[in-house]
Amino acid sequence: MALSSNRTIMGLLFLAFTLSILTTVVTLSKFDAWTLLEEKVTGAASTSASGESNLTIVASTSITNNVGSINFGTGYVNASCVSCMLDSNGSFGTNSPGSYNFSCCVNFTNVTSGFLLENTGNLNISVNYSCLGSCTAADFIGAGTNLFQFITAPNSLESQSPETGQIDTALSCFQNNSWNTTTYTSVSTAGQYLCGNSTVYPLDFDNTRDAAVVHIRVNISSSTIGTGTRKNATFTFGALSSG
Amino acid sequence: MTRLNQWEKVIWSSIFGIVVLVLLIPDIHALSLTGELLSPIIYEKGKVIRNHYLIEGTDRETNVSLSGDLLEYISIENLNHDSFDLVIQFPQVYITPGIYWFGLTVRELPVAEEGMSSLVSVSRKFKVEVYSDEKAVDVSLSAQDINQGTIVPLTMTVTSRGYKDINQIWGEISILDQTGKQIGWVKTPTKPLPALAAETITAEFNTSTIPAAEYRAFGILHYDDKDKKANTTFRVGNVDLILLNYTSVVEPGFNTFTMQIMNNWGNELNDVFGKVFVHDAELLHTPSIDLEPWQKGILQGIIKIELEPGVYNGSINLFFEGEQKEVPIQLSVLAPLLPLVGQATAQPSSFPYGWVIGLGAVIILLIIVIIILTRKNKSNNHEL
Repeated sequence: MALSSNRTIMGLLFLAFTLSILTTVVTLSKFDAWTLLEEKVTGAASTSASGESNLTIVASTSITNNVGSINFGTGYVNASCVSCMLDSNGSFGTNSPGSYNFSCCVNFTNVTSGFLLENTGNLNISVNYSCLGSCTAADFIGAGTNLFQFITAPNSLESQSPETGQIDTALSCFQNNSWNTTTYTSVSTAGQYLCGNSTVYPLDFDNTRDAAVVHIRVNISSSTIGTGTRKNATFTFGALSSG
Repeated sequence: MTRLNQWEKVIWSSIFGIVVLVLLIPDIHALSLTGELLSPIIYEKGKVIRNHYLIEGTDRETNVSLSGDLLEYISIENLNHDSFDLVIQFPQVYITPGIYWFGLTVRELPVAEEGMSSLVSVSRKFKVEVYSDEKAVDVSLSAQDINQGTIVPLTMTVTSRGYKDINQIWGEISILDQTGKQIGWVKTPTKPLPALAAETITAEFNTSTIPAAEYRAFGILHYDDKDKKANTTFRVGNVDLILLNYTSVVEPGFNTFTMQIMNNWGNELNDVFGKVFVHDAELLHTPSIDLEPWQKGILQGIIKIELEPGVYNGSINLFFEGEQKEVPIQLSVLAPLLPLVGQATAQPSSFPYGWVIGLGAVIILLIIVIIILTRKNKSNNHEL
């Protein structure tokens, strides 16, 4: 019995050790720490006999999407409802003005996080998007009075996590919420600039104002005929800075 | 049997733990492009630029691409999954002068995914400035505000915007007063200016013979057989405080009175304050402030106006560094727009309500006395 108990303890220790190592490896790889240690600080404070040291901080254009996918799952519209609206901000149900009826969206998943974009470099950037695949309501959902839209909001207002640094405390994009799509806008293949443009780079890299959330809204009319075929829409979020 | 069960439990627990861990890891996409900044790039014949970039943060396949102008001279070399070199090799000829742009993009490649997924891309935008094959320059003229009696340096900054050396540059500068009349002329020394280089040439002008005021410097830069113009303004100052603006319209009662002033001297002015007089009566004595050289400031306080509506002549006395300056002003006192409630209730009524009430009371009293006396007389008559 004592032998068995010791083995159990050994097993638990082994499990704890394995999980600890795995967690460390995965966390470091996600936060790019290996690269930071190896290459990001070039010259890495190399010392010589005379005591000189070098440190070169290089420019980094970087964007992180902390929520890589949005999945509303599979379901159907309750026949007694006009439509089912799904929004990654947690709104879920019919889009009748002023009311949400959860029973209108049957079996779908209530998503509460949008794409969380963050400037993780050390240069100011502009942000754009383009879409690949089924990028219109007709393609993504089907014919009818359907909607496939998005909206952008500073993360200081959304407080969505996880951000790489800290959750923003100030408005992003020109530091005053100058995001170009602050009302719901139809998704398109060509896309558009979300913050700034090809010559102005207003998304700060300061950790207090470097992020925004892109929420996706899908409205499915009850008259939409289900095909049973899953469609895909791939958003590419681009960061542009001066070279 | 017991031993096998224990190890089985450990293995299954480990697998379960790993699965839970993987499920809890957020789906994060990141992409970084790290390398030295090059923009703006000055085009030079035969110039070669090689810049190394790191691609970081992603575990997906990426694509590196170029777009925009001058792509025939730009290429990607030594490309592997996490780094590459951008090589710019300008030709041995001059190309049309102007501003050119090109872009460098690293993009995550899509993988087959269902539903709504995302990728990230990063781009750098480069500006290439191509100058003239001829001799060309940009020129600017600058002059500092100075105190009267000192020497003002007039500096021309000349930047070559051409690929040919200039043998000599020199400037001549005219000093004009506020009416446009030329009051002086100076010439700079001569210098050579290599291609794409920058140089400054300076001339000095003595202000001892001109009054304190604002002046304009008009310069002509001569470079070999060409010339280019530039101008600027500068102020010759003295120990003086200039009243720029003041509150000229007030209403009866309490008002905020503001004076905007400027230090007209190239040194600090301490203990600056002002007084406002109307009809030799002092209405305001402001708190004092300090002013930096050429700095504007505000003197402010509350004044009580007890004057009838109209326009009054007065003065503002400015005090600074032990000196005093009087500036005549006009003060317009407006009629009050609405009567104040307190004043309205305090006003005596024009109708003599008190007299009427008193007179009425006396009459009623007399009537009562008459009635009583009449009844007494009647009762006396009955007894008789």
